[in-house]
Amino acid sequence: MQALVVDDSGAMRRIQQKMLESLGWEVKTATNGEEALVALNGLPDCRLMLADWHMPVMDGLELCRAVRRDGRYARLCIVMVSSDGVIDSVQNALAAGANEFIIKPFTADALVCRIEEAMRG
Amino acid sequence: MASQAATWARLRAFVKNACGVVFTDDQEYLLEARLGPVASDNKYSCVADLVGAIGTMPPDSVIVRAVIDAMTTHETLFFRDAGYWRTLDEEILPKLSAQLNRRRMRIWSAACSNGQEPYSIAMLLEEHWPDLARNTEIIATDVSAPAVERARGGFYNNHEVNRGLASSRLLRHFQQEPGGFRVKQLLRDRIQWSVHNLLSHWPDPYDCDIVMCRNVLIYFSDTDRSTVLHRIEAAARPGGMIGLGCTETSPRKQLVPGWYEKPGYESVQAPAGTLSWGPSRGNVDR
Repeated sequence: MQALVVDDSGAMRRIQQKMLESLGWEVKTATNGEEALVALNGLPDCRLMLADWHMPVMDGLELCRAVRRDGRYARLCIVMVSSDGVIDSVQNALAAGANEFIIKPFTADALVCRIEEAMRG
Repeated sequence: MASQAATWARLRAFVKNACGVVFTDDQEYLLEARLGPVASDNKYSCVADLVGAIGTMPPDSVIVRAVIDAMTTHETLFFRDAGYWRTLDEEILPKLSAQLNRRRMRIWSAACSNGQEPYSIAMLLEEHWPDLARNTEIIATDVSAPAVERARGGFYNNHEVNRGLASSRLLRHFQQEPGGFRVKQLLRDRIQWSVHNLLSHWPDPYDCDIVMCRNVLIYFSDTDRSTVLHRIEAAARPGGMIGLGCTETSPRKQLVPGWYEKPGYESVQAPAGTLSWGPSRGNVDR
């Protein structure tokens, strides 16, 4: 299954890509929300997107809203990634259309938990 | 000073005697990793001195409790094994709640570690079984006093809430605090906490509709495992459910991996040497 990792930090992209690949995902990456929308256009079977909140050009929250406005991505599960572990952030992410929220830094098993929740919901 | 091997042997015997947890030869690395901080916190010059000293201390002393806490595993997460909780929600609670007939439901989370399991029970009940939630007694116990105190406080850091807790549940059942999140008072008030040793002569909860004792038996010797199985089964009502870890087994009828049904009243015979079953029939208003 295809997944898209969206993060402006190269280190975070690589870490998340490795985690997902070890779980069997085929992973593409993008460095901001706009790039992610372009990438999604060419990934009709993409089922999962890990989106960093704080990014230049288009942040994760705007990206979530844009994706949820597009009916082509109805089956796409979004996990919002952020170092802001506060209730308001979680609430805003879910309201923008994210299925799940994970607080940085996180371990591979925590990511598995979040993905399972996102896919189940 | 005692050799490391001798210290390890002494500690293994002490821990097994205190709480039944068994270690193997190749786990000697745990000696320094787990007891090093306890030794320095308590002003012992080395782990060997600490291990040498605990043998003469009362079992409820602060240092002995710290050693037991350090040597027992607290690795757990909210809603561990999704299928296990789905079975509880969709099959077990409908069946057992229909049999209550004015009686309160009683659930025992044995070896609850830092509390993720009893809080998972409380969350599930509040979300899907709100009437039952107000009519259920959740008893949570662990051999580690520090773990029980932590659990009672209901505070979890970011890493802990990342694991197993759906974001919607975080929003609903937790409040923000510096460095993490605390379970809301409503759920904290629904759980009774206590320190309890599954291998000592301490009274067990009884007449439970559900007993969960997950991923604990694997740390015990065969003999102790059998003793604990008898005890947790004795704590359940006839027809009640026993929840074990998915890799742990009981001779009883297995519904799905991890869940076993205690035989109904007519076919129950208490194993020799176990505690009494407690009241088992009729409607008991508490």
